[in-house]
Amino acid sequence: MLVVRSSHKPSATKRTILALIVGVILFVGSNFIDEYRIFQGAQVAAYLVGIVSIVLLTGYSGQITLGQGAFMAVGSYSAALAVQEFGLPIWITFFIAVLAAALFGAIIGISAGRLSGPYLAGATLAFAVGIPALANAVPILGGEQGLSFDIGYAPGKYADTVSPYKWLFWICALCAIIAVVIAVNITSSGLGRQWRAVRAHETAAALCGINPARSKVMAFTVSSGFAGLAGVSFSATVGLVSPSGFTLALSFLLLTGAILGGISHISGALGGAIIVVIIPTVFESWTEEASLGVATYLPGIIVSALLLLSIALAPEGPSEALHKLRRKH
Amino acid sequence: MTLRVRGLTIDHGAIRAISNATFNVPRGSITAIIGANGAGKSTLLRTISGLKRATTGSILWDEISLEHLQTEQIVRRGIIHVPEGRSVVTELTVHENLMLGGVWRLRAQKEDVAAAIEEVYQLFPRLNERKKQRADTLSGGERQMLAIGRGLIARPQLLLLDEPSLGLAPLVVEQIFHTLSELQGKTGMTILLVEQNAMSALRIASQGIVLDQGRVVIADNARAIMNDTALRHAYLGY
Amino acid sequence: MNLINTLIAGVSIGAIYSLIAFALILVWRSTRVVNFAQAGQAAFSTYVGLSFEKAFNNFWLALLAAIIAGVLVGAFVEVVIVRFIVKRATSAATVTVAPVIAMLGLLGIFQGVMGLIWGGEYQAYPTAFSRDGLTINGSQIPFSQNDLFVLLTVVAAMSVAALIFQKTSLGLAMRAAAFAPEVTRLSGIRVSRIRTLGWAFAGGAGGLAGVLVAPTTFIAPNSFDLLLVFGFTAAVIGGLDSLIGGVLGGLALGIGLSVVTGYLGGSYTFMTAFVLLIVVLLIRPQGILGARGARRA
Repeated sequence: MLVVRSSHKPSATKRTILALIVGVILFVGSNFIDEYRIFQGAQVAAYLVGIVSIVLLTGYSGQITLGQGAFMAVGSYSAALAVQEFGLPIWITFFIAVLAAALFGAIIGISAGRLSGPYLAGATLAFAVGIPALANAVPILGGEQGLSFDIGYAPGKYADTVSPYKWLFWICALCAIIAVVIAVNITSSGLGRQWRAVRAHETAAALCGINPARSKVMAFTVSSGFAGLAGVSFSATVGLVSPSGFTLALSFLLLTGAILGGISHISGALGGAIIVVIIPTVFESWTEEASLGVATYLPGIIVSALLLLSIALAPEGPSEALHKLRRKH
Repeated sequence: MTLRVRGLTIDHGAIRAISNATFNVPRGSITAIIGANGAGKSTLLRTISGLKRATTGSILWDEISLEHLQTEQIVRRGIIHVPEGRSVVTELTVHENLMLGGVWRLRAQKEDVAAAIEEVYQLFPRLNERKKQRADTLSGGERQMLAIGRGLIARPQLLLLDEPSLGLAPLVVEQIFHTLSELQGKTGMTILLVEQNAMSALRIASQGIVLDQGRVVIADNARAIMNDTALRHAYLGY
Repeated sequence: MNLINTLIAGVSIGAIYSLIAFALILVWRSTRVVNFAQAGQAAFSTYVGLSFEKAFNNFWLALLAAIIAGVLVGAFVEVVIVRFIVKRATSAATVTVAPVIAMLGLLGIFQGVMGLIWGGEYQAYPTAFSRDGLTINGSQIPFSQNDLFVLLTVVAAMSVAALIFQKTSLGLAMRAAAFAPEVTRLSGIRVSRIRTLGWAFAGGAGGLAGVLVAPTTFIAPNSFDLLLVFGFTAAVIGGLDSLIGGVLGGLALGIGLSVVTGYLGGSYTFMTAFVLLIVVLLIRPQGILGARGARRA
């Protein structure tokens, strides 16, 4: 149980090259796909980063979070405020979002690091409900309408040739690729091994010279930084930062994606993100035949049922389940 | 009614706790299972009472096989297990703990449950003095008395006792063992006693079974085991 | 006089938090699972009550229907889903995470199904009593006939629960199973059945809480999410293992929030509860009345 499996993954350089290749393929490929699919691609990229942030925290560090949407909100609001109040250029706000959310995560992590299981779940749940409510109450955050967050058009002469959706997709995809590369590097570094050791057995990890409390706070901070990036990408796809964008439903949706893709590996995040984006749209085609109610609620039911089934049948995610099956035969 | 264990093998994941154990516990006897820490004694009792499942083999009581029954069904056949560690419910009072032992037959045999509780109070007067106190205020010896008392409320035909002497002062151990021996003589129930404290256990037992690393190495008359110096040196360490 | 008024105003909502806390604690004690789906179960039961209300135009019949629906749904959830999840999640990584996530999935299913059956819009829920403040010595106080009804109903329900727990053998078995399931099994009690009963009772309490609060909050598939968070806070304040602690925690939370709202304004209600939750978790993790420090479950 206590063996932390060592990973024989490609080196950091190889990963970077791989990421560049993926980036080029996406960049070129985006020219051959219709606008709507490109927009969905941007959504997938934003959700992907959010799911990675959950996998880091829950999968690797073993701390459950039901409130990742709250950290996304912190990032998004910081970014939007930076534009509105200080007129900073959009690209800088992405960094601001990451830093603000990470700082916030560190503060929360210091208190959350002492909790576990249902207590942590309850506290983060309260957090997820509380942050949008707070945003609603503070005037500078724009209340129910929220703040606008417009990434605009591609710069210079490309503004006419590159469609806004394509521009959006490029930005979100770039964020996602960078996020995944960093996340994979973290998880295969000493830090990632510390997290997994603490998750597996806190006392044993402490006896090996790891400070479990610091390790947990670190995980919270890093994960929140990713959530901040996810938030700002997500807001870019919506063009708006508002309380209704960061509901409990968003936190649950991301958690669902993380579980369906496999909570214990970064590699599952892409699959998870695609599932949570695709499922609702599959039902959109039904709207004409079925009643409005079915189209509104069926996706939620199916996603929740999938969540329940996957936690019942393969609690550690599909890849772990396959791994176990293979060992059996 | 004899307890017959045949070819019993029990695994803890990849670890074999008991391998191919075969022995009988004759009716009306006190049988002591002795052996070092980790010999598989507790696992054996947990399997008889249905808390754990055997890998292979059979356990017969009164010609009925127990190995597929639920714990509650086994209890209702008069087999009562008092697990290791003075197992009482610390959040309940002494009296409530005793009541708990009779809840399952309260509807049919209410008077008998009350009578059984009275008998336990006579057997262990200390419990009577403290019947309204929460169990976590009791001393170690009193808790062990309460754990055994809870088992007695069911009027067991077979009592499985796991390490009743663990962590208790020698005087208290003597007292508990003496009471058990007397009680057995009076009711004629069968007692299967698991002990690390081999001397005390064998003194009240008629039969002894020595376990070593999950195997039954000796099953013999208790006196014979006590007198066999070579065996004592080899397996019991004294 | 002003302070007394704000105190009084918090009592009846505090009583409802107590009921939710009671339901959460009952389930936690029996299964070591925090039932986040309780918000969905309570809303579902309340919708059943509303349907009866519409069909028969009888508040009391609807109340009874909601409680029964809550009991049945609670038992169903335990037998069909929880039992399976708890059995499957055994590894270090999943044992605490899996039940929480399963309960969220269940909450999602409940809310979706309710949306399908009853629609998403907020619906009014009638009361049997006036919601205008009572008049004492010529001045109106923020406590209505309906508040009194809520308070008395909760007190009655808690008294019945206390009687069952303290005076019956079923209650004895439930208390024993909560703290020492193995000893309880070895005493010949079917602990799995006790567990189902715990979920059923909790479901009934949730249904009752739903009908009592719905006239104030209105009813929609997700209208009890906030109630759940407050109920959880109350349960944590009292210590997750102590039923009395949860009830007192609910009252304290209701009154405390009412005071804060009275002096600072309604927008701080939630932040106050959240800060309170975090402070209690950090300073006194075993809760105000909880005796044991086993919070790192």
